[in-house]
Amino acid sequence: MSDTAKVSAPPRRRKSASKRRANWFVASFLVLPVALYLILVLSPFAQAFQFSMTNWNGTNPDYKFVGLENFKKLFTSDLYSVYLIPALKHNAIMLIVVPLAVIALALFFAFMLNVGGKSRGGRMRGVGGSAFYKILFFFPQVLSVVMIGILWQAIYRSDEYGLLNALLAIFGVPLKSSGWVSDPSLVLVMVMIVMVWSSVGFYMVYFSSAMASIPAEIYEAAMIDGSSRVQTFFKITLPLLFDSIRTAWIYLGIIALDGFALVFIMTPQQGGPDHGSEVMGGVMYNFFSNGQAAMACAVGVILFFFTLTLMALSMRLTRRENVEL
Amino acid sequence: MATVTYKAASRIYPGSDKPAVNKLDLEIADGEFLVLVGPSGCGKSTSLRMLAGLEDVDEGAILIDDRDVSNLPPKARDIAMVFQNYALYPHMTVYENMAFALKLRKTPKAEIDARVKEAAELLQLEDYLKRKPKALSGGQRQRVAMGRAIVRQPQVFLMDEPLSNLDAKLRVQTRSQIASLQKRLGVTTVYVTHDQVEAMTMGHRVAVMLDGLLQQVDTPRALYETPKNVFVAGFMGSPAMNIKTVPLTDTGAKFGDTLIPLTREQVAAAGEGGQKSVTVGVRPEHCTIADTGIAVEVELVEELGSDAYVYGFAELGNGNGAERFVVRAQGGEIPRLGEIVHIKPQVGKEHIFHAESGERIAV
Amino acid sequence: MATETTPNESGEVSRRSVLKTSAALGMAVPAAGFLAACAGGGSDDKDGVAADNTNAENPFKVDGKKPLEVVVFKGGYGDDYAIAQEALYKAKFPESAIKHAGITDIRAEIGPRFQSKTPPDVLDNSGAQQINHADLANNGQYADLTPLLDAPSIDDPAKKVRDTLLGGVVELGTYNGKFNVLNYGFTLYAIWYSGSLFKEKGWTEPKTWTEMLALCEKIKAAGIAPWTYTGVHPYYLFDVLFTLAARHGGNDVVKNIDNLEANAWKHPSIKLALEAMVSLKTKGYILDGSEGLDHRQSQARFIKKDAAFIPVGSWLENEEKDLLAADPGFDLKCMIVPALDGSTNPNAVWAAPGEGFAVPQDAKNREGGMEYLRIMLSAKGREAFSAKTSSLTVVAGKSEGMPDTPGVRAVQEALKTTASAAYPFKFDEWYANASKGIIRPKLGEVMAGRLSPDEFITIAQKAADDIKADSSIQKQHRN
Repeated sequence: MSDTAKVSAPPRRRKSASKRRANWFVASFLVLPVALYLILVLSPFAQAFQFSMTNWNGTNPDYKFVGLENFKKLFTSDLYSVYLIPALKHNAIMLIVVPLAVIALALFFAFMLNVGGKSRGGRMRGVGGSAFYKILFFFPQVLSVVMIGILWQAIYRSDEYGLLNALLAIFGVPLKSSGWVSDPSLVLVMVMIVMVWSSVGFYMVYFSSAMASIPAEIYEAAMIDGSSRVQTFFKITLPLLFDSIRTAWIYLGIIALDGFALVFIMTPQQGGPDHGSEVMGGVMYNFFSNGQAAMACAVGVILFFFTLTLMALSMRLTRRENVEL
Repeated sequence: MATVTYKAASRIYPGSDKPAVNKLDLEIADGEFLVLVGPSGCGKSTSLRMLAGLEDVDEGAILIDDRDVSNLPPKARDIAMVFQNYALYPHMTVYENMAFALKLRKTPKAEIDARVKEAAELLQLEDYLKRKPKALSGGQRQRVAMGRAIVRQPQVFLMDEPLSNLDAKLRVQTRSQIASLQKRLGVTTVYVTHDQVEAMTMGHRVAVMLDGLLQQVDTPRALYETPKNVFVAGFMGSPAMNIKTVPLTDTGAKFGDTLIPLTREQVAAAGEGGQKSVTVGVRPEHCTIADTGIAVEVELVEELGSDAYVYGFAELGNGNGAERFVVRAQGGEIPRLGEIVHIKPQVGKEHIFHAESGERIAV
Repeated sequence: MATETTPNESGEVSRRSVLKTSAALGMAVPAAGFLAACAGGGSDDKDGVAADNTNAENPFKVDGKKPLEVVVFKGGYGDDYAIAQEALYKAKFPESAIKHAGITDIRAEIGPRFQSKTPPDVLDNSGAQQINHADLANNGQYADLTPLLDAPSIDDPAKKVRDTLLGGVVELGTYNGKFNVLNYGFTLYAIWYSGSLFKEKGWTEPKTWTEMLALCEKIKAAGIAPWTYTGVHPYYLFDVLFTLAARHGGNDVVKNIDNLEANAWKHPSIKLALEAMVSLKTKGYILDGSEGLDHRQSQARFIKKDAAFIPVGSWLENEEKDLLAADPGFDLKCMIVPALDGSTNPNAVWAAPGEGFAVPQDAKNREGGMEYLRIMLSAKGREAFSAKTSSLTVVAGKSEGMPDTPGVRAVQEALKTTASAAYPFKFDEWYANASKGIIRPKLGEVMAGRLSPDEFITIAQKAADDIKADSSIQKQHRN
């Protein structure tokens, strides 16, 4: 080695002209997407920070800087906190409940539909009718969120024409006059049910494909080792799906931090009744609509930091060595 | 430790009419090391999996120690299996992999510890107990897979081509380790491989299979010296036996210019069904290079140090054109490419088979 | 409540534009703001439009060659009427190129244009996505329409435009002493019922609240729910609440609330009104499940005669024309909510014209815009509107082009007695954030029986006090 070290490094040559041209050529493809990203995504982000510290109402060019006044008002003034506090609470609840419910159900269905059936002939199979169930559970995915909202609105309708009420009437349950989404204590649960219903199918497929990548031999070895279906699920399948589960959690967390489209369509007063289903996205929308654009930006900034903290926390807590199959 | 019996066991995959395993009859003694060997698709793995409980037994039965296990799930059969790809649990350490089955049976911790450590010692895995499979080499993983099976202390060991994924040198080394391990533990073992060298060296008996049918089950020596049909003859031994179909005369088989004499009974048996030809086989190591005999034009010489294998073509005059021949040559007398050498089969070392059925014609 | 009278074309349109809106809001507006910020602040201090009132033909000295851009909210009224009215302008100024747009999301599409000072010449700022009139007016972004008021009307040049309008219209559109918004479409809030149903059952219109309660008992006994209402949008209840209160304690009750006077919400008339409304629920006079119904659902049940009364605006006939066509004998009728006992001002009615038209201060053709408004108020303009929308305008008296339908007749009947006692309610528009965030939801809770009138009053008063104390909220005042 020492011999080669003594030889002086060859003089640095300038990149050949053709190499430079090639680099420029490649870069030229990136110019447009990067520009679009900068202008349409990053720039509004940055401007939201700027506007959150002004008194901009959305249409006045002569807004003034007010420092952190808006943030203070959001938490201390009833006029604004009546929107924000419930929203924070609700998003936090959804963040815990929705991913948990979706992942648990999706895992259960994926397991049942892929390896839960009797393993006749040694090959793992799903329970009877798996093919049909797979289509059925995935069906909500092909509906747009607006359709889902309208569909469930009809189900949750509060008079006797609501599908849920009609179903309960068959069993002799009397009509609940405060309704389902018009009852402030129930509306969040109702919205979460719809969120779970509309997400399970996708993650069921996602986990199914993750499960399929587990070699069948491992299941066979577990069978020979004497593991029951339940034991195999918890001791083998689940740990090997950890990375998929973590990804699913992050995506579902993002959905839970939003939730606005459903709330807008399905709930009274778009976040009610009486802020019973208020979510951060909705608060921003309402502030914009009421001429409180700067407040809306402030809420956006809060949401930004909230999300950032959440992501950092979850990545740290779930850090783990990669398992190679 | 137990006996294993296949009683006309068959496996027919749904949707196909040809059975993957066709009425297999096999009796394996207690403590025996039986090798199932054959080309891919012959049904050896399927037979093993039927014994494991991973494949259905569509017809017939499988008995372990006179207990009919044909319809029992794998865990009720008290068997342990080593897979070709090891099938180790990737998220568990070596220790946990080996302890898994015992934990499921709620074995007391102390006993689990003792058994795992014992198996680890046996396989020289003590230093690796805390590692995960991805941090192990192929050979180590293979040992862990074996350890997992050993810890179970089952009645039967099943091994499905466990050495296929190892490099040649490691394979040879591990081969002998497995054989001696089995001898030490004395557990009935059913071993599947496609490598006839492994079969010959490891098994007490070897069962050769083709297209779902058992061809011959015998000791390695018997398979080598008295193969029951053309397939077994050509399958066992490396390089393969020279098997040629040559014209049949009243007195023998016309092997090029040489005549291999046959008794009258042999001629009659060979001529059954109006056969005018007969199949003759002679191993490369039973051919000598002489001054007279079949003229072989040397095409390739494989030097192996101690000896060499000479590959060439010869005209046998049976209308098939130039046929391939392999002959083993001693270290000293190695012919050169393009040379014509004369080959003569050693007397008494020829194998005669019926030209159509391929069945062995007794001496 | 001028701004909500136009039905946003039920939920469908706004639903479709939900995601588009949030995307557009999040992105387009700040981008424009970035550019606007470079341009510096404040509207140009243009002078107002000068008018020569001796020239009845063209008092604003419109330049016939300049183009005119008209943006109209395409909601319950559609925008066909505007196209017809633009044709009238074109007939008068043939060389003017007219640009028409009927859109639903005013805030997303026109908001940035205010920001960048390139607004259209005429803007119908209505619908769920309207920009708060107060925000624009307070910031000088609307032109002063006083010249329009003082100009001669087209049909009778001897009369000023101002004198042709119904009472309350000028007041409604005045901000900081300037008349900025012409609320064009006349809407009456009322309690509606089926004339044929009442005839069949022998019921008569109750003249007092006591009579109302007695009638409700009879209706309930007949197996019909006396009342239903749109539970998901509590602003439908504002009319009932404030009309009962104004009838009981005088129009100043509402004025004080608008002006953030101390203890305005604590006026006893408010409490009595709330209690009267709650009594409907406690006596079981409300159709089961009403608090969860949206406007289409509650109106459909009403037309189906599952409920006898429903509080809603006069757009009802147009909005539900298909359902009403299926029941030609329905005989839609309306009445203003009957006064409580001891009412000092029993003829009060809520002046609630909607569809606010304005001429932006930075418009290129303000004169043309004002002339356009003058044309809208003319007989031909009104005919174009009424024929296409079956609705009245804010011009008093004449109703050319109105189809003769029960709903229209009902409104005209009600108008006969009420024109003089009209009151406006501006709190919901001036302080939209607090009204939509606190007043409306809590009123819904009161009607659902989960909040008591006293609790509501306390909360509402606190909200009013908070607004008063918050210096960053611009205050309005009306006399």
